[in-house]
Parts: sequence; structure tokens; C-alpha cells
Amino acid sequence: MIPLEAYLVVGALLFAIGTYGALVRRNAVVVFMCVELMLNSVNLTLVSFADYLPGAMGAGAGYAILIIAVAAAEVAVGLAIVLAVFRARRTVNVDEINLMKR
Amino acid sequence: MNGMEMDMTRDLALLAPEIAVLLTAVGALILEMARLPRVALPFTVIGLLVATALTFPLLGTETMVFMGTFRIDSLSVWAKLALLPATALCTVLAYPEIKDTDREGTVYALFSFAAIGALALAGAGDLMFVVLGVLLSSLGSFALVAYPRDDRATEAAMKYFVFGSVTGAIMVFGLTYWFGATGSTLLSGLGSLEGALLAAAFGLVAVLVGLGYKAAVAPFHFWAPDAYDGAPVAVAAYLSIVPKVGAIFALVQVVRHLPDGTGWPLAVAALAVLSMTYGNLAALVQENVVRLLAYSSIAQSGYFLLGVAAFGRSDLAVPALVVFAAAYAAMNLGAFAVVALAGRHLRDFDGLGRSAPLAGAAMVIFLISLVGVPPLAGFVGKFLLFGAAIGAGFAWLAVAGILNSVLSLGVYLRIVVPMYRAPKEAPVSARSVAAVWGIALFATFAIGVAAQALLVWVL
Repeated sequence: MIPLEAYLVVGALLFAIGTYGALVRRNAVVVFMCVELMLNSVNLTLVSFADYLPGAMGAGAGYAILIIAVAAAEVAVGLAIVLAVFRARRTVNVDEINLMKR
Repeated sequence: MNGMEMDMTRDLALLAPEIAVLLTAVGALILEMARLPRVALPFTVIGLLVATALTFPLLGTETMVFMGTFRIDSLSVWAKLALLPATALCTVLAYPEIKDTDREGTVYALFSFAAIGALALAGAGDLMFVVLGVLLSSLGSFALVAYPRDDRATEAAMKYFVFGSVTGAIMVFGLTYWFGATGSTLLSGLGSLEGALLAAAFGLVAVLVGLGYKAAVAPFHFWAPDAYDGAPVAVAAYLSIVPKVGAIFALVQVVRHLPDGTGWPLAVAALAVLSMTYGNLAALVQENVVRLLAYSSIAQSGYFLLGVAAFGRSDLAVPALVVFAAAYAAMNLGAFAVVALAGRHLRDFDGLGRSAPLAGAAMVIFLISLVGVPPLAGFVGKFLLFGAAIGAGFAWLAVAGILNSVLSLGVYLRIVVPMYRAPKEAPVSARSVAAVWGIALFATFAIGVAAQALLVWVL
């Protein structure tokens, strides 16, 4: 039997990789992929908690499905914005998208 | 079985305002598809006002619906009473900017959808409602910011999206640990975190990041000035009011169940001071009025957090939050409406007080109400918030708030002073914009006077 902690560690690692990528990568599409990775690490953590906690399977699975829907909805809007940016400037590099001054 | 059906009917009846907003949003989309954009605006405004009217019978109700996942209490009811009219006024304010474009109905639908997100946040009784509320109000707002599709708007939407999706992911990750520690997604189960303070603190940080982003609390505010500046003025007004109030109320719904051992009051108080001070200092150097108001709204989030920090220790906390939310909605919306009339740059306000005396006077009143001068709405709201903070033993927090109010006077005077210099030609005013600031002006006085009368009567 794999202990719960093992799943949590993998989840946390995935989350850390996703966060690192979202903060460091310059290509907007890659940033989205990193956000998806963060949300999927949430799902992994959720379903492992749901499996190990007594009587929490329903709530955990429901929550995970909600997060899947969240990820899908976010990527739909996000890609639409990236497309609009690309049409306007022919680039999706977040460093070059800096018209507005601080 | 029969009892369950009865529960269902009762629960749905209690959610009538939310359902009305949902139908309004869908209706606006259908009108858009039917190529009837002219009908879309009146339809949306009437739908939102019907939803507001449906909220009045709920006043005084304190209950939970759908197995404790959603709370009908003074916070969620007053959120509807303040935010739905504010949303309606934002759609009216948006009209001159977006009329005769091909996606008019879509904008009204997005305003309504994002409002449902804020309402879901304000009454959240379950972790999933917090996630859903943040998502719904964020997605609608991203699209609204990107609406003009020009360089600035898409850039603003892109920054907002990246910031929002990363902070949102951090929030759900932290909330997962609350679920893991309590075995339930209900917020009312959070009391059992007493024995798992590490998980509790982890989740608290995540919630503060996620809701702090939604409410534009420093240091999670980076998106706000760019998003407000890139978006149409009506959208900026909307973003500064509706999601913010929803997120602040959601924070109260979360912390009301959190054990004190997590140290949440102190964490919220620290964020309050940071947000107030940073917002006002940054606003002092802005040349663009929309950015200035964006930083001012970051400072106002700090005042809101005073009420959150005092929650549970002072009976004034909930009334203070409610009054300040209504007051803030009125005065901030009014200020943005005058910006929609005058222009985004500080120099557009040169001589406005002489060339357009009524709008100029209204702007002065909105701004001094934001500072907190009696008898205006902002004064009562802040008075109650400071009272709540002192009652909760956070006297230093109230002092920080008062000092910041003095500082904010300097911020708002930067707009007022040039208004009474040499006049130039009057800006062209759309009737709908004038209607918005007129109603906001009335509300700024009415909320101030009514709340003071109520206080005198109660005390």
C-alpha cells in the first residue's frame, strides 16, 4: 500500500514545477500549460485525500470534477485572450507585452 | 422523499435573486443572438432590478441552503442589495462606450455572470463555492477587460489572466489541504482544524492570496492598475466594486469558522495596513485618473479588511462591512462615471468644476466621501469600521486607518484642485452617464443619512 504522503509529495512537486514555470517562462502558451499543471496537481492531491479519508470520496471526487471544469473554462478564455494578443502584435512573448507603464 | 422535495423548493425559493440574475444573463445572450441589441440593455437593467426586488423579502433571514453549502445571512443579502444595482448602473455606464458594436448583449451578459460569481462568494458556505465564485467572477472580468480588443485592452487582459489564474491555482491547492485535514468541503467543518494548525495555516495563506487577488488587496494587487487602465471605464468601475465586495464578504464567511489558533485576525490586520498605506502612497504619484482610482481602490480594500479582522470580536463588524460596501459601491461608481465623462488623464479635469459645474460638484462629493467626510456615506462606513476595529482590540489598526484617511485627502485633492482652475470647453456628456452619477450621488447622501439615522435610533 502506497502511503498518502507519497501522493502528497508528488502533488506538491507538480505544483512547484507548475508555479516555477508560470513565473519564469516567457511564452504565454507555456505559462498556460504551467497553470494547467498546477491545477492537475490539485486534482491529484484531492483524489488521494478522498481515497484515504473515510467517507470523503463523494465530496473529493465532486471537488476534483469541479477543478477539471475550472481548468477547462480558464483555458478557453485564456487562449481567446492569447489569440487576440497575437492578432494585434504577432507575438505571445509576455516580456514584449509591456505598453503600459507601471 | 417528499421532505427532500420540500427542502429543494424552499432552497430554490431562497435563491430566487441569484436565479433571476442567471436568467437575465442568459436572456441578454439570447437577445444578442436574436440580433436585438437595443432590447438587451433595458432587459438587463430590469432583470437586475427584479433580482434586487426579490432580495428584499430575504432581509433578516439567517439560514443555510443546499445542505449547508450556501449561506443566506445579512452579508449575502446585503451583497445582493448593493451589488445588483451597482451592476445595473455599470451596464448603463457601459452603454455609450459599446453601443452599436457587434457584441453589446455579450457585455451585459458578462456583467451579470460575473455578478453571480461575486454573489456566490458573498454567501459561500463550502470550499467549492469559494472556488466557483472566484472562477465565475474572474472569467467574466477577463473577457470584459479584453472587450475593446485593442493593444492596451488585450495586454491588460493578458496580465490580469496570468495573474488571476496563477493566484487562483494557489488558492485551490491550499484549500485542498483544508479538505484533507477536515474530511469535508464545508466551511462549517473548519473548526476541526484546531488540531492541524499547519494545514490550517497553509490553507489560510492560500485563501488570503486567492481572495486578496480578487479584492485587489496589496500585495496581490499588481493586476489592478493595468486591468482598470486597459479596460473601458465602465468595466474598471465594475471591477473595482463587484468582485471586491464579493471577495471581502467571502473572506468573512471563511474566517468565521476558522480557529483563532491560526492567527487569522493578525494576518488580516497586517494586510489591511499594508493595503491602505501602499494604495494611498502609490495613488499620490499617478497622473492617470483611472490608475489613481485603481490605487485608491486598493487602499479602500484595506479599510474593508478592518471589518474582517474585527469579525467575531466586535458586534459592529458585520454592520460596518455592509454599510461600507454599499457606500463604497455608490461613491466609487460615481467617481468612475465622472471619469467616463471627463477623460482618463489628470489634465482632463482642468477646469471641469467650472465648465461642467454639476458633474464637478458631484466629483468633489464622491472624492470627499471616499476620504470619509460627514455626513456622506463614506464617513459612516469608515466610522463603523474604525469602531469595530477598536471594539475588537485593534486600536492601532484604527489609528493606521485614520492616518491613511488623512493621507488619502492628499490623493483626492490632486483631482479636485485643478478642477477649479481656468475653465476650458465643457466635455460632451451622454445622458446615461449623467444618470449614473446622479443616482450614485443620491445614494452617497442617502446611505450616509440613513445609516446615521439608524445608528442614532439603535444607540
